[in-house]
Amino acid sequence: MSKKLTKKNANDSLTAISDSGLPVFETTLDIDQRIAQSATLNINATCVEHLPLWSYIWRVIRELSGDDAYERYIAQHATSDPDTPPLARKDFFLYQQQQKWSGIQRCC
Amino acid sequence: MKNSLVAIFAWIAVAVLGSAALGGIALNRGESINALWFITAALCVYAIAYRFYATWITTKVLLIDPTRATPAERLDNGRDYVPTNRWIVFGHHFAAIAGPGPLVGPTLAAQFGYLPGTLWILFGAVLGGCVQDMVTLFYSTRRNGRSLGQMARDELGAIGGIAALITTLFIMIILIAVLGLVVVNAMKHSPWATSTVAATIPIAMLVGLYMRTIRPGRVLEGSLLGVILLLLAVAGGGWIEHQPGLRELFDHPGLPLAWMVIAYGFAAAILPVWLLLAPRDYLSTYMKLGTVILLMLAIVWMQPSVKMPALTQFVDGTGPIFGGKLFPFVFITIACGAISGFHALISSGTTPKLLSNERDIRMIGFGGMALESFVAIMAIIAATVLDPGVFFAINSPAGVVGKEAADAVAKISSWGFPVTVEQMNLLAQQMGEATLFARTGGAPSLAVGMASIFGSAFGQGMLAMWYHFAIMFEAIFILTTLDAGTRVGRFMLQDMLGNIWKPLGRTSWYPSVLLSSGIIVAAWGYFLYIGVIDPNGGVNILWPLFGISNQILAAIALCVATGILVKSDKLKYAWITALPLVWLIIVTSSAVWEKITSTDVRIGFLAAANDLATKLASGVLSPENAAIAPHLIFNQRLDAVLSLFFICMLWLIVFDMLRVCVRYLNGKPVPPLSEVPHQLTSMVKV
Repeated sequence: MSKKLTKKNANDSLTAISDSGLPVFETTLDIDQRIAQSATLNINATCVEHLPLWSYIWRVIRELSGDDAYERYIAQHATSDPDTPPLARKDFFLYQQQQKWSGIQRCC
Repeated sequence: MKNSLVAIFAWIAVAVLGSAALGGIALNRGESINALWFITAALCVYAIAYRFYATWITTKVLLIDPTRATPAERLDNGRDYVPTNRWIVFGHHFAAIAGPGPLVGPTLAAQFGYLPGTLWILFGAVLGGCVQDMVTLFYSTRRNGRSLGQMARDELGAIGGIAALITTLFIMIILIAVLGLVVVNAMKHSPWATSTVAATIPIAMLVGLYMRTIRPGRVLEGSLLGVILLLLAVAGGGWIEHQPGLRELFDHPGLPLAWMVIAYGFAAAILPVWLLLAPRDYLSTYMKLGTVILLMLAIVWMQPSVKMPALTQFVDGTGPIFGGKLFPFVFITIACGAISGFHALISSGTTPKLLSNERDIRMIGFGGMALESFVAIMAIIAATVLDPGVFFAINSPAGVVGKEAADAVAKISSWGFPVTVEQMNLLAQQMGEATLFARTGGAPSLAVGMASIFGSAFGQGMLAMWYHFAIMFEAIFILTTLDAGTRVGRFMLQDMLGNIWKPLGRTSWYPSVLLSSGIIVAAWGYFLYIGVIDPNGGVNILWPLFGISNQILAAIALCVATGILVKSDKLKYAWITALPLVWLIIVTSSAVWEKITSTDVRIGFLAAANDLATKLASGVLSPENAAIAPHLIFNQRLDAVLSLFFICMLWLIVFDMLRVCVRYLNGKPVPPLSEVPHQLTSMVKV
């Protein structure tokens, strides 16, 4: 199950809280110790488990192609910026394409 | 304990299998060899390098820290910084790095035989390219996804930053020109190929309109529609080929096609992205992935025989496709697929802003490049399953083997690669083309190779379809690279021009857009034009220049990485990037040296220019050749200056890196490490 690491349950390894409110890891720890500690933590961002295989594959295809970009944007928008109205689907698409093709996106 | 024993035995088995396959490939002489050995050797090399070398680098040298919050997590804004599933990031990263380069370079380098290219692709990738991509991705991730140029400036100084920026702009221009040349050579006098490639433009626009207006943002629906239309266009091209009156509309020599590509490039650069660039990129990505998977399945299923010898006599520098000895030119010709500096721009661009955890760096950086290297191996297989005589007949320019078919086959057969006019005519007829002679550039021979593999796997009756499908597939993502490259070049130029006069820097100001797009298109259009009028095919000149500039960009990325390693007190591990760096310095410096000083007119830029100037002065040239000679002479001299400029940039940044390292080791002040301090990740599952 996914849950945010809180100040309380991460307290053992904390020395400070950074400006952004995120906990700061004790940097004096040896890297092997840190990896060993984190080995019990399985970190994942958007992966969804316990889905039937085909719907998992479909999800991956949609995310890979950007087909579900607008739904993800709406979900993200609702948590990060609930006071302002989100962009319409078409405007979001145009904005996103403009954004994407303003940097180096394709190689030789 | 039991599991680890099983693992040890499994890895020993992989190592034994890999060495056997490699040994078989390397020691085989005189007989044709099953292509499956190439696939086996490649997969074993990648697996071992990934499991052991990449793991060692990430855990012992880079000290990947899974508890550390990535920029995507810390700066998550739902737009450019977004924590993303690692398979999705892998897909985006691979789609971005794998372009037409790994298909064209190995095909050209097959003139040396199958062995040099194969070994360089495998070992260049795992020791050079994969390490470069992974290390750059790591350092950029630790620096909020900063670009290579910014990292060079922060870690080494202003010189490094400027060198990286200028080299990037130049390599983009050369890259677009050479890719444009590949497309032009594939469409030359081929109504089928030309009409199919032309049809991709309205199809992409239709898809663009669909995704914007009819069903906004429904990317999959639009792409499916587009892919179906593209396949229909391939079939429709075959119909046009047989329609008198219609076929002439699409039957053109090289020069008008080059002007069309140039006009198209300018139009694509100033049109809104949603109309042409974005939808075509969706189509080319699906085509690319689909074709690569299909090609792999067909090779595994059909197990075609590689007929090219391990080494040909052309290792001595007399090769018909491009002049120059095995060293250094095989390492220049195959850049993408072994080590490609361009990847460092992707690894320090979008990808680090999507990583949800540093743990994924090994898979995305190292694994992504290993997969591209595998694509290059498949390209070398597709080129070498052809009869060598056929391979050379398709790829040798008319200036080397003669304009008449009889002359060409006589010359090629005299090299010990028998081929007949009837054989070539039959092949051209099977592929639905008027002729396959002198189609320099790699795309047609690759398409013939792919068509024969697909044909034997899925039925011979469709050879012409497969051939034109392969041409369309290459053209579509070459044109995507051309659009995208022109656009990025435009932004970089606007950025520079903005320093001179502010309004020129505004990316949405139309006069500035027109001006900067025009300059970029004129720059690559010039090289494309010269390449097309050059009777020696142009690829002979442009591809080495592209290889050199791409490898120099790689060397710049490795300089930045080596500098950071030393400044992070990891001098004893600095060889992981310093070793490929030293190799690239040796390769590019000797290639540039030969390109400038060689007295062989097929290698040395200046030798060729002087030779042509003498001929022009003594009046031995035919009137048509005399008319273009001044252009060719100027171009050869310009190329000499350009390659000298590239190599000076490289040495400048190498000395800058060494200066910073020596100062650091002597305890003198250097630019501080710009790494962002550690923050604990909060995206944790217990």
